[in-house]
Amino acid sequence: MNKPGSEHTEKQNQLSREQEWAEALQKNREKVFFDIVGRYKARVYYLVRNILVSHDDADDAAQNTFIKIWEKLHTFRSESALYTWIYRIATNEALTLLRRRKPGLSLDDVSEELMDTSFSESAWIDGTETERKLQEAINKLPLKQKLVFCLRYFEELNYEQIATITETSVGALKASYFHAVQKIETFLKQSI
Amino acid sequence: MKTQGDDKIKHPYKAPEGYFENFEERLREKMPVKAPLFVSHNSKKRRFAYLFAAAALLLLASFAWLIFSKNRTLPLPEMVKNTEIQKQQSDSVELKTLIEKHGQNEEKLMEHIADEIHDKPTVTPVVMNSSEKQIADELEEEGIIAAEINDNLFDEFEILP
Repeated sequence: MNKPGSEHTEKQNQLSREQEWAEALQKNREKVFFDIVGRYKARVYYLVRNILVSHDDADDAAQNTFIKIWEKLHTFRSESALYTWIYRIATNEALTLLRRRKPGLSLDDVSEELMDTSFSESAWIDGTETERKLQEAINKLPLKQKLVFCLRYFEELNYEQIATITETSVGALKASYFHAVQKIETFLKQSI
Repeated sequence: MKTQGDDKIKHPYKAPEGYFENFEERLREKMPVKAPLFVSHNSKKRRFAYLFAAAALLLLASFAWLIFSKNRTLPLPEMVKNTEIQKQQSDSVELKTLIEKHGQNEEKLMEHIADEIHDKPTVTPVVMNSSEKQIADELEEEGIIAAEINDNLFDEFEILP
């Protein structure tokens, strides 16, 4: 585990790197863009894959995310964290894709319906039995709790960052994460 | 993917082989050809653009007003002619109303007309002269007629029916 001091320095380094990117934007947009793609493509892919489960859907959402970033790169403000901005676009793209699947249903209903089929049918799933069980438990969560859990647990973002991405208050996020953890624990205890 | 600690359970998802290597290539095919123009926030350029647009709009509005007001002050010959016709028409209507009002009593009618003539000054020729002079003055002001204008300028022209 990293020490708190070194974590702080790493965050500062990341911020200064992002600042450099934002400044370089004005000089060479395309180079900066593909630099961002190279740096974030895997993180964006796995974030949307956690929401959408299916590889094909995750691929669509990831590609659309970077197209949006390309189109909106000029609106990016150097003072805000780049990855928070990217994650927000990626989350929106994933939710938009879910909405398109079943226009009449609520997001939670669509999510629940798709997760059951996608997870069992998806060709690109690996991992240990425990990892699969955890993922099954995550897929059973309401969409918002699932999103908060993935951003906190897998992406290791803090509540303030998640609040920016999901446009929710920190208090509500903490409650969502707490409920998610409880539900996952209950599911894992029952299934083992 | 972020490196996760040993105590942490990872997710079981994996991407097809070579997926991330071809990612940029596939992205390039989907990307719009033209990139949007760079617009920086709080930039002086943007503020200047707004100011420029406002100034251009103001200039256009004042120019339009200038043309509009010019057209209003310079009466066209056709407009003068129309005014004359309207005046004649209103006079004839007035006479008709008087005949109806006084019936067959010719003496009373003649008295009334005589009173009217005494009371009202005749305006028609004055209006014509004033309009002609006004036009002439304005033409001179515009520099269309450089020579000195006299009151009889319009007498030289033959007015077509």
